[in-house]
Amino acid sequence: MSETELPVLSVRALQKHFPVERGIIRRTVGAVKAVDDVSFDIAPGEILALVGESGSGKTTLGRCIVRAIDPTGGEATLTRRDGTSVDLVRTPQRGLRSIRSDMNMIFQDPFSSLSPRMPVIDIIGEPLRAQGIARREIHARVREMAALVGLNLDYLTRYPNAFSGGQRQRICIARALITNPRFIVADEPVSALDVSIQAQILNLLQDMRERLNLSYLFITHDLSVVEHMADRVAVMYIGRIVELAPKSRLYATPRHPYTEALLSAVLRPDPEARDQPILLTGESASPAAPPQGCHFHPRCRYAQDICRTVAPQLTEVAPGHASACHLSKELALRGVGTA
Amino acid sequence: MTALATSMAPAGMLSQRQLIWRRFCRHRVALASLWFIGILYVVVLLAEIFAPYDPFARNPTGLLSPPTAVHIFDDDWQLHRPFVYGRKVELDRQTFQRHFVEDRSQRYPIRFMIRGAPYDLLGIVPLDIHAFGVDAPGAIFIAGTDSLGRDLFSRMLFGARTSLFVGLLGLGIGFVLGLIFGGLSGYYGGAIDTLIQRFTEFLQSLPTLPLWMALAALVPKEWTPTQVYFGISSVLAIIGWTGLARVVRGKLLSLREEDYVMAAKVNGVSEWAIITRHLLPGFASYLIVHLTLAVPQMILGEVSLSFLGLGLRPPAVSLGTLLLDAQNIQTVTLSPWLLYPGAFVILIVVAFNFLGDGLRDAVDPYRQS
Amino acid sequence: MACAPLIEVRNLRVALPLENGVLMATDGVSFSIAEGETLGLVGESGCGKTMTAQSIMRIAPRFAHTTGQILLHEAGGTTDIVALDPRGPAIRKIRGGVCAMIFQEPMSSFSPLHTIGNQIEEAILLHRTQDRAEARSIAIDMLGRVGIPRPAETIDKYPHHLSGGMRQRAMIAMALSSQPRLLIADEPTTALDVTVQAQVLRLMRELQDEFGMAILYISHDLGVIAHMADRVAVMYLGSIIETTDVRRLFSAPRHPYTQALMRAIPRIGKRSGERLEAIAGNVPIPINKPRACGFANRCPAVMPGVCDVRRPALEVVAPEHRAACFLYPEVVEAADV
Ligand SMILES: Nc1ncnc2c1ncn2[C@@H]1O[C@H](COP(=O)(O)OP(=O)(O)OP(=O)(O)O)[C@@H](O)[C@H]1O
Ligand SMILES: Nc1ncnc2c1ncn2[C@@H]1O[C@H](COP(=O)(O)OP(=O)(O)OP(=O)(O)O)[C@@H](O)[C@H]1O
Ligand code: SF4
Ligand SMILES: [Mg+2]
Ligand SMILES: [Mg+2]
Repeated sequence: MSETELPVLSVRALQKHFPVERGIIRRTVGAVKAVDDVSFDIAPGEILALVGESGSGKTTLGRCIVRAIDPTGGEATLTRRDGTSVDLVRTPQRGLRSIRSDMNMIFQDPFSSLSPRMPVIDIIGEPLRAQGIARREIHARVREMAALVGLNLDYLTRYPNAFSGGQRQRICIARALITNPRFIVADEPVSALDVSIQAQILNLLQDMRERLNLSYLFITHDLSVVEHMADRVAVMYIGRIVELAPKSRLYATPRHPYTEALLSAVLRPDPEARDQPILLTGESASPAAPPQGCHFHPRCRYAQDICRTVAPQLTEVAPGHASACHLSKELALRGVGTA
Repeated sequence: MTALATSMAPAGMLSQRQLIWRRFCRHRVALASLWFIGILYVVVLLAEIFAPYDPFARNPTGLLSPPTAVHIFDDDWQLHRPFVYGRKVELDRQTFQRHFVEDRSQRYPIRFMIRGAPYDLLGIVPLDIHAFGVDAPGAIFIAGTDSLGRDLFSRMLFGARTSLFVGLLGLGIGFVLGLIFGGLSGYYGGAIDTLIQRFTEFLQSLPTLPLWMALAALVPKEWTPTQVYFGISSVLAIIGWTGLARVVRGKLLSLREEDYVMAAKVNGVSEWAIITRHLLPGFASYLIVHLTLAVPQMILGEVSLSFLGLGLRPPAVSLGTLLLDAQNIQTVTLSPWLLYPGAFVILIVVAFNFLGDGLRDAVDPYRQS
Repeated sequence: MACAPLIEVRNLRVALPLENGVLMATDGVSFSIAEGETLGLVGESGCGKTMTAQSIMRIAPRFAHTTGQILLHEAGGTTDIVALDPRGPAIRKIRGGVCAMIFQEPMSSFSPLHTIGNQIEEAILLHRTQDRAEARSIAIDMLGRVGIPRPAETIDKYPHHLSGGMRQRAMIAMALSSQPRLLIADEPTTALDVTVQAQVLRLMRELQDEFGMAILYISHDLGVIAHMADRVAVMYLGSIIETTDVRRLFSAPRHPYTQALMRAIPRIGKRSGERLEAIAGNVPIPINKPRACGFANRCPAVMPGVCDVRRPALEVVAPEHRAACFLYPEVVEAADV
């Protein structure tokens, strides 16, 4: 990661608002601000983990970046392998088709993300086929890729229902990597898998990053997995990034109260650890009606008057470490030890 | 979900289609229905061969003759190959009604592949072979004759041909309409969807029978039976596509949300390829089920319209026009075999329904109660 | 913890006849839980955890074929739950009375047609009191106890009005309202966020201290199990392959599967960035499964000719520690007899 190199992906003020419609004529009565003013960069070869609670907009953010859904506003600049840059938000879907070879997505559920009626060889080759590459060449590339992710080549003509969850996720990874992309959004790639299979897939994702010099936006809710995989971590809360820091900094010295609570709630597989989670009071608010001021203030144990009225901005509190909390300079928050 | 899908894995060597077929075969009644319908279509297509008589040939001596009994024993309990007796007419002195009775002095063995009235098979091959029959002057009327002395069994085969194919033609037109409207509605959504939805609701809320009657009244009286036939098919289709359009729309809407469709989009697959490669195969099986269940509706539609005198009219032969003869309660009490076409309609409709149910269960194993 | 066992499961087998063979959902499961104790049941997806729990409540699928014994020891005597008619009055008194269950899916365990209150009151009327007004006040009290704000208002809400965490609390309130002796918690926090999970787990511990009930805590998350359980039973492919108290299990696991699993999971504080020691292969499907150790095809220490021809029994291999693996002479001995 040299300083001069352009980031693979640079996201600025990205927004996705889902309209809330009522009545027979579907009048728009409001908006769910699923992603609200999100900015970050991902360097070549870097893994940025995105954590946050359910409904905080992680999946929506990932889908907006690869344009599986269309963002409402903002910018997302992708630097392609050939060095040119494109704004993913403004390019129309048609124009994106040639750009898609440079980015891809891995979905959470390996069961629903594979067409049940296509043989695996066609599934993996689909991105190439969409680019109009000849069948013979596609098959050669598929076999190469399948071998790389550890699939048995004899089974490539079978249908996805012949494969277990872990193998299906390998198929998904092969499909995502076959066009030799630079950047991958991995949306909870292991949370649907058996515990004893997760390690295989995490290792595979790591190996692929090293071999192919990939960058990941790695979405997960499992902080142990984050600690294992990530270079930097972004914490999301109701549509916004509330803290962004290099991994070891974030774990050792979190600067946002929500991160602190999140870290303390991780239960370690060690009965001696006797973790004492910080218990948040109250409920996470819905992105359809977020609270005024800091979105986290109804559950924050440090909240002051200013938190109830003024929304804190994501500001740098230490080199490379940003937090969106009025008190992040004053508070001494509890982290978890890392080796 | 995860656990279930994992447990399916050993069957995974089989394609989706093979799995469906396997499950379908376990549904005995549906399998029997499939055979029945398959054989039925072959028989009615080759009705000229399987019918012993020309459907329009009158038998002046055999008006309203009851079904001929087939015997294998004669009066002395001697075993023979299947045969029928001759007929003679007796007059009941009290009611002055004519009765047909068997003339035990004459035996006519049933012959197979017998030469009889000449015809052009499928309109081109001139032939005179019939699958079965008896030598003249004997006669075999398996289902009796009508008031003009025409063999009802032969007429039923020809009638079923019309009815079964009116159903298919109407279905074909309705299928295309349903696919287009449902597809537009489900794929584009938004205003187009709302418009088409309201329109189908409107069509569905119209009472069917009066609508049929109104549309059928538009078919000019002077049309030939063939033109009427096409007219009827179109009438049935114009009303019949709404159900399919809803199925297509609903399926498209739900499939569009599937991750694999989103994955295809992310992989740069074009809209058209997404529809044809990912969405359509996803519910082709549902379409087949829907079609199977719609055929009997179409058949019943033709039968009802013709029965009411609004559809096909004699001399065209269809199961509906055959039932016209059964409209008079007096004839029916005296000649109950005139209801046989009705029983035949029931049999066909029930078979189609069983087939459709079997297919649906096979396609969608998770809907089992 | 030296209390008499409350429930004893002996050699429980649940066979599901499926289209491509017989699926052994649980295959000879035995364990017991004492009054006030928490037994953690861990295992991967599909290993039969839920089926074990459902068998105790007699709510397994109707086509399941269940054998073995599930003995419920009460002051009045001992009942074998397996022998009861699954729709008879005896099991209905146990179900939701002596034994209560919290399900994995908080959404599907409440009926969307009735208010939360109605459903909790229903349970109370069935097991505790005949008086509707009293049932309602007990319900409100329980909702308050599980930390639902404004219980008197919330009681008249419908399940879809509540968030996942609140619904899971309401579910706990319903399960506890009949004051069960045994609470079966089937992955009660899997669908929840970690911060909410922390609240729910704290709540369950507090309520256990207060009511003294036994808990069968089912999870696939070793962190949660380490946090909640007194003793742990590890399941793999329908069988319990190791059981001991929670400290021994995590400090000195004996079964190769447990050992491999402990090395395979990423954890905070482990030297990160390093490769995980993944377990090769896949979890087999328990259809027509051979009489062999279920882990044999993935086990790093597999002994051909031993592990793949006989099934190891769960034997004592160390003080208070049972494992089902032929690496231990006790298990080999038991198999040879
Ligand atoms: N198509 C949609 N229409 C309306 N609202 C939506 C839509 N998709 C997502 N949302 C809302 O946007 C918010 C963010 O959802 P998202 O799926 O991105 O969350 P997430 O962080 O991925 O959660 P999880 O951890 O549960 O996957 C949620 O409140 C959700 O209800
Ligand atoms: N109704 C059913 N029909 C067919 N198979 C079933 C059914 N219910 C469970 N099974 C099978 O029984 C086995 C055990 O299932 P069970 O639900 O007990 O697993 P589990 O350990 O609870 O898994 P999870 O962690 O996914 O909840 C699995 O292989 C599953 O596929
Ligand atoms: S800004 Fe205030 S309410 Fe928000 S996290 Fe910081 S201290 Fe808590
Ligand atoms: Mg998500
Ligand atoms: Mg379960």
